[in-house]
Amino acid sequence: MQPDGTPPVLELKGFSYTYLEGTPRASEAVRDVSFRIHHGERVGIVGATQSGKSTVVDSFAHLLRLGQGQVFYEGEDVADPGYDRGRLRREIGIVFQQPDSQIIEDVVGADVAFGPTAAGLSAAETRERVEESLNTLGLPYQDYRLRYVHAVSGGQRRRVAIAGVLAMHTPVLVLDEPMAGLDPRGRKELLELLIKLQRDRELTLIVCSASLTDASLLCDRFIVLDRGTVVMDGPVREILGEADRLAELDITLPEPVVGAREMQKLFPDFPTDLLTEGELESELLERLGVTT
Amino acid sequence: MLELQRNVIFGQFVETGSVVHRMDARVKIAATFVLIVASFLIDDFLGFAVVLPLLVAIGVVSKIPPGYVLRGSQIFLAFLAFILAFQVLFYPADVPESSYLWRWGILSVSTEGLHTAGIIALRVILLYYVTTMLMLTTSLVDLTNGLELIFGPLQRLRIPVNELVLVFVIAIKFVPIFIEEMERLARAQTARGLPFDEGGAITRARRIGRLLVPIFISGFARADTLTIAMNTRSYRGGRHRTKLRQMRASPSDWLALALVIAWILVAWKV
Amino acid sequence: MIELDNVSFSYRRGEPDVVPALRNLDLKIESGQLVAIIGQNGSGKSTLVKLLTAVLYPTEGEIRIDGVPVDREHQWDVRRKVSVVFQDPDDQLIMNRVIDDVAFGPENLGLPRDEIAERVHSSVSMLGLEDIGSRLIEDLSSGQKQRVAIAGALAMSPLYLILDEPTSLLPVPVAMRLISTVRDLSLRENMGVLHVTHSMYEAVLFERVVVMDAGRVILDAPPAEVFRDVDKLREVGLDVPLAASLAHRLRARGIPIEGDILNTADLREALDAALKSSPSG
Repeated sequence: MQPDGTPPVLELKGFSYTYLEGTPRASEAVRDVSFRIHHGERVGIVGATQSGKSTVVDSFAHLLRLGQGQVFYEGEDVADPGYDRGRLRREIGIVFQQPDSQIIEDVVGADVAFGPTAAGLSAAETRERVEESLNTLGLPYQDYRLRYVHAVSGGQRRRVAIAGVLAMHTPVLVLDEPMAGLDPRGRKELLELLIKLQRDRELTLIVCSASLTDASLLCDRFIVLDRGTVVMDGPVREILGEADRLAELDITLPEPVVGAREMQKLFPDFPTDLLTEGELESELLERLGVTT
Repeated sequence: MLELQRNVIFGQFVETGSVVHRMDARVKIAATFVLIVASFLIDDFLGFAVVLPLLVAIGVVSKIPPGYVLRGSQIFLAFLAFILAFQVLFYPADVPESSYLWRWGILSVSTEGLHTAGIIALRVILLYYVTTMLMLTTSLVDLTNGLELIFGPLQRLRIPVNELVLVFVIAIKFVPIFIEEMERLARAQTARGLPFDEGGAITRARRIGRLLVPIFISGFARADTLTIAMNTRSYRGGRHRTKLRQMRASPSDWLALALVIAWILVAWKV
Repeated sequence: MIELDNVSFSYRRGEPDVVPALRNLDLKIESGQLVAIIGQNGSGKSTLVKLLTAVLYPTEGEIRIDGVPVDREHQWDVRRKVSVVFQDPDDQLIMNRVIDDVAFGPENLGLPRDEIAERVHSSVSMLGLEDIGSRLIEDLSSGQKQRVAIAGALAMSPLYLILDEPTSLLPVPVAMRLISTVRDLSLRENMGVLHVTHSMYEAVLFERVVVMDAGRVILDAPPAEVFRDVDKLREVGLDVPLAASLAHRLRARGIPIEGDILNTADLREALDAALKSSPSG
């Protein structure tokens, strides 16, 4: 509970999950994962491949077999019999790693309209949402609404997938490896867009990634997973301060942190909790005796 | 429905290191072939009853958990039951009045109908069981090599055996990948408000149907990449290929095959 | 040697929506050379890979690999000289077990059994896969799978190894280990490597960096020289390694940083030297 008594948006209590449980191919994905995420937080769930990130994401919207007492949305157990899963999925928007998997309709406009329509919005409201979402993502409504989903580029398809989720106006937005497969320009554009979106809409933002590079610019807090368990959980700078431990986990460190670790060989007390090239530069200048 | 992989085992290979796994692939394929022939020859319940202990023995020796096989066959069995219900209800042959158990217009249930459907069911289940067990216990390389050796003589009839075998093996390889992909799609679309874990059987079947187009699109793309990958690794049909693995059938392998043949003969003749 | 002589390629040639992918490309790659090819999506990198592996043929111009022209007639000769590793290991690994998959290529060449075994053994050990040789590929991590794919390519004893973004789905530390293994292999076997990548960190490990944009080569030089051209790289939407850009900034502040700065280790050494030469620092 927060001081004012509101329950966390999302809470996992001792969440464990095994794929293909009870078969010879069973594999344990996560074990005893617990954390709370509060309204308006920007959280990065990070870990190497197969650390259990995607399983945690799937649990949020009850996309897996769940036992009771493991996953709570706004204080309610989502596995309770009679819990309205449809409502849960209208509140938690998830953008999956492969955008193709979540696209339902063939035409861009129709696909973005799918969620609002299914949620029972009027045609006028739906149209408005589609227009707003596509425009927000830099896919002008007039140009894109009638395009075929399979005829646009991979980067644009990712935007269509995000637009489809945004059109739902969900209070929680979860992105699984949002930057995968994008080139540097595409990454930069998407990063700026997401930062703006989070601020404008006061979203609870959850970013899942094997790379801290973009997550460190998008999030305030990291939950670090390793082989299915939470190994670190805290403010971004605090986590980055323990760069040596992160490096052992095969997680991609942000470039300034990589630079800082190298500088520690020269200046043993060099801090690693750096977010930008500028911060690394001023730390260096300070140690070189150049006043800034 | 969000856990499709638990419910379909077709095309899986599960390593348990059992005697069945270690058997020579040619012997296993031959035994499978004998059992397939048996499924056509045997036409009474007693015959199938005689085969049953053999199948159970194969299952036990392979160390593949029976629960896994059963759960993995649910969808197949449900489909079979559906087809057989039709077979019974629309049984076309004229049957003596006394054997009708129930009748309504053109629909009927007769002892003959039930008998025929029962035999068909046992045949299909036998076919399914032996081919599934072959795949569960034989790796793709062994399956490829074994099939190529067995059907090799057909090469003389200008049948491209090696190519056909590889196409077949790759098709098997892709089945689990497609199922996994289907599961991923179902999950992502559920999250968007098209629930695959709610609604009746028909609604769900319709939703699964919608996934077929994207699955085919990604399937073609994968097949395309795989073809390129195989070509760049100098795959140009099987003719000039050599093999790393040598097939070696031990006396006990032949003995097992002889046992299967003998058993089937008994089942057929009783 | 790989020679590209005024090579152009267009998709959907002769149709109204023709897509030119490569424009008048001239490129020579010596045997044993380590070359990184970088560029945005759609810059023509993947098309180049398809041309070099005789999957596509040039619309105009000529490509020769070790003297063999890349055309339909010589496609199989070309493929004995080059091996490729693709982005997604699941699309290129064919058999269930590591050893069986590595053997697939040599088997296609019709080699004697002993030689296949020898090649499989040496490729598997060069990639550090001895312990998982008989494991099922589906149980491996993506980094391990990609190692299997490289072992499979290596078992073909190619003159050139072409890597088509094999690291883009891997975490950076795993990718870096993979690329340094490939580099060692290349040096040991005198095998040329063409590595298509988005990662500047990987590119700096190569002898030569070719930068492509809109179907053309816009830069082609050793990494030190290429990454000095900060503005041009940013203009075509590419990143510059942090160390290179930081060195640029520090020099502007009057810190005497000597030499080529490609990675943070270079930067540290240069700073160390600067500190030692100025007692006040």
